[in-house]
Amino acid sequence: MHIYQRQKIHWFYELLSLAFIVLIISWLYFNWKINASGYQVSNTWTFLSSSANFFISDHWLPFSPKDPTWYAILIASVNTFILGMSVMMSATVFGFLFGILSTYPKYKLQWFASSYVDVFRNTPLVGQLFFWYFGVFYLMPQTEHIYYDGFVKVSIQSLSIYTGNLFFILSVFYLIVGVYFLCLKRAFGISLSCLLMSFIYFNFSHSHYFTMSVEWLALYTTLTFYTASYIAEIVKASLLSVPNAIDDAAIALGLNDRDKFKLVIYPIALKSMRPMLINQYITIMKNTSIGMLIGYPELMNVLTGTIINSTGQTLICVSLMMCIYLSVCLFCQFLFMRKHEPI
Amino acid sequence: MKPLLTIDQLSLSLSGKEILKDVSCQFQTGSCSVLIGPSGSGKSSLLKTLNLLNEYDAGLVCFNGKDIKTISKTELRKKIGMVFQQYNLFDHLSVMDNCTLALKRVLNLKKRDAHEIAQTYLTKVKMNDYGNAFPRQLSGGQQQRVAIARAMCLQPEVLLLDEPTAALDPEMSFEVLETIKSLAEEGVTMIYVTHEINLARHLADQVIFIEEGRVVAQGDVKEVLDTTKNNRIKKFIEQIEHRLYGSE
Amino acid sequence: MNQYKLNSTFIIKVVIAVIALFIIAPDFVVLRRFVFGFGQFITPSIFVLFFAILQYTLLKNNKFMALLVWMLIFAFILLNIKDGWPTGLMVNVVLTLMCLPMTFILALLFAVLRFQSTLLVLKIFATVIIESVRGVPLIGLMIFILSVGADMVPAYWMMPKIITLWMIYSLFAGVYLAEVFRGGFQSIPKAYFDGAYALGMSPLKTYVYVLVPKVVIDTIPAAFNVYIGLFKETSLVLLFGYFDLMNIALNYLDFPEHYDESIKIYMMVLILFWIVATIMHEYGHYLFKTFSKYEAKKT
Ligand SMILES: Nc1ncnc2c1ncn2[C@@H]1O[C@H](COP(=O)(O)OP(=O)(O)OP(=O)(O)O)[C@@H](O)[C@H]1O
Ligand SMILES: [Mg+2]
Repeated sequence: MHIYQRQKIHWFYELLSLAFIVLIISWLYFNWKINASGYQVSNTWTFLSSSANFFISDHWLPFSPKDPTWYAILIASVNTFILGMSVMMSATVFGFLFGILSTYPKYKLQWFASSYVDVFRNTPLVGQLFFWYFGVFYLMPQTEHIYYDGFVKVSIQSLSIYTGNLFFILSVFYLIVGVYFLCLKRAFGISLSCLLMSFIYFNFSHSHYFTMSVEWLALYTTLTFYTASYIAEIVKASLLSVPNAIDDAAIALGLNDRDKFKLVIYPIALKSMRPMLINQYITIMKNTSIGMLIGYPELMNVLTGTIINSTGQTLICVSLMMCIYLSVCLFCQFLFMRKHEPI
Repeated sequence: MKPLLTIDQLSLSLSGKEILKDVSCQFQTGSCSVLIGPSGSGKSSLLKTLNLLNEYDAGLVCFNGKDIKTISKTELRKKIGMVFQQYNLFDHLSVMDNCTLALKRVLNLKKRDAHEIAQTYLTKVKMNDYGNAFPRQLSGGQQQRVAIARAMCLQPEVLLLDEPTAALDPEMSFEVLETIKSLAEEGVTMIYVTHEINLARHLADQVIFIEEGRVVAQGDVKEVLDTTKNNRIKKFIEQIEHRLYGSE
Repeated sequence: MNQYKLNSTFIIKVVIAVIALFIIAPDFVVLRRFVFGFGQFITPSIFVLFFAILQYTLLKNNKFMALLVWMLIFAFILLNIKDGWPTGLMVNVVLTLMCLPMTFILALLFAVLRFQSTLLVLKIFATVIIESVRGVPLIGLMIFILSVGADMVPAYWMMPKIITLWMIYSLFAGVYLAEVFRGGFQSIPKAYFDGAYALGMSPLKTYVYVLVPKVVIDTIPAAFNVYIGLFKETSLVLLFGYFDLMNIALNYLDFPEHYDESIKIYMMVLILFWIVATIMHEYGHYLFKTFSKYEAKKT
């Protein structure tokens, strides 16, 4: 970067700092060794293949307590993944909507959008979650209520929507698409995810109702509103950062307002908001972990709550959890973040 | 008389590109030398090298008879001040702080003494009323004068000036010139880069013409600018004068 | 020159929020308990005094005094920690205040080590720490510290909980702030190095006296975003069983006679958080306006 002198390796200082770091780490390690020797728990990985012996209330794939523990972790990961994906989509839509509104020339709309952003950005996520979960969704009726001729069923635990054979049809559709791509022998990612979707949809198809638990709903609402406010801020900032000169140039070319936005301003803004958006998407994945506080069985809850309680393998579970989150984050960064992208 | 600064067969390359080749020249104590040459010929690079902001590959640069690589960088830079082509002022510091920074942090002077010294040099460049202003609030010429004052604060023996009048209108450049002249009378050795022939004629004891990293001609003003036999220099000078007076 | 003017919308917003707070609150005692916890009133007022002194030193640009006042605040907090204090909103505020300087120092250290250092070992070390803290959610980090990290110091140290929390949050926010500072360092033109070196300054002096002040001023708005994030995240101390605002609200709602007030109570909590966060935001705005005088006016 700005380092001006030629790069030289200062062996003495390198070794000195290495020694210092090694010293600190070994100090921590020996302390841990001494303190943890009192627990009498042998750390083994065998518990991963023995049966789980606990229930998971929400699962998108079939699961029973007799299944092995690693499978339970997989189920929890799928929960996290699907929650994150759904939040991503809806938050993007809301975020862009509010972001564009807050640069809109009409004052009232602007005011509305910016106060939305203000409220949801400046309050803690946990508070919002409890507000939705213990506050708003507690207003749902205690006993099951049926609306619109059984089209919607509402109770304190869940919300069910009548879907009929929709999921079966969707499952078949995705199966066909997946197999089609597989036969073409390219786009393996797409075909694999289609097959996975088909499998998930097939699991729903034996019931005519699509049921969402109230925990899922609360998490989904919270994360959507929360993230949308961040995305709106990003969209607004990058729309405003497009230089005025470009605006003028577009007008001078004779573009009307809509074309100007669609063809000139929006693409430029999109380029500068891209890394920030991806950062937000990674943050969503990390934020799903607050599901732990209301007992939704996502990865953090199952891995470091339920499994630790039933097996006592603290060290392995915690390091597994850190590794999974870390690798997903690094992978996403590696995949989407291109450095030195010209704007 | 022994020259203050001698350059002997200096060559420099930056990021794999050869920029200076076999440059040799000498600067006498208290003299005023002008470097001229077309854009991109390596004048700024040469000045930076004298201040050890570039590390050169081969050759010898002696200051006061000592190889500059053996002098500590801080000592060297205290003796050789530099004014940059783009001024390089610190935007986040006020004019006064810009000038006193080195006095306080390099010479370890007290705040009050540093202020006094800075004030005298700011007065010399007629910027004493702007002590609390920030560089971005000043015009180009004013910034240039602050940069000169900042370099002078350390009371160097040699002052390197990189196109000090490039961004200025004639009136302003006259003012800056006056400043430089008054400094020259104090016995500071000057090496400056310029495109203005008149200025060179006016001030210089020595003119050095550089092209593509080589010294093409070197000598006193008449020798290089007026009675030269080198076609390239003739053409360059003609073009500059044409640019200056052609529109009349 | 940019002059700070108190934003009238800011005042209106806060006043409305406070009025809404008083309307929503079931009674004044509950509100008081939420804000000050079970403790006494005297400590918060001393805080305000400290803060006023700090502000004064900041404006006088007296870094030594500022550091001294921070140390005093720190010592004061440590001396005052007991069972009933801090509780309520004071936990969040006190924790944020404690973390501010440490976060700043850590972030500067990480940013310089990772992005500007020539020492490979330190660079790798900083990178590993930054990436592993950024890649794991805060809850995960806390669970790690609670279950594994707590054993990594000698057992006889018996660290107070708030010190553990202080270290976690400083590390967490420091890593994000380091990223902000990195942006600041990257946007510094090379001319600054040339200018400073030509004045005879060593690289270290250049960093300390020229670059760091500029980066710190330039990144005030982004840094305050990180600090507000830190303040919001302090609501997670309920994992440690600390009675912060959130936990007190949860506790209050445990009684069957309060069940139907839950929406109200959570709105109160959110408004309280919002007020503090908004004040922080405005304060950052104020600092930026007063310290970035050098920015040329936009024409
Ligand atoms: N850091 C660098 N890395 C690589 N090449 C460089 C660097 N700095 C300068 N150069 C090259 O060195 C040559 C000389 O540059 P220099 O700035 O010295 O020219 P100059 O004579 O001062 O021109 P001008 O009159 O326009 O200021 C140019 O071709 C330039 O591209
Ligand atoms: Mg030049």
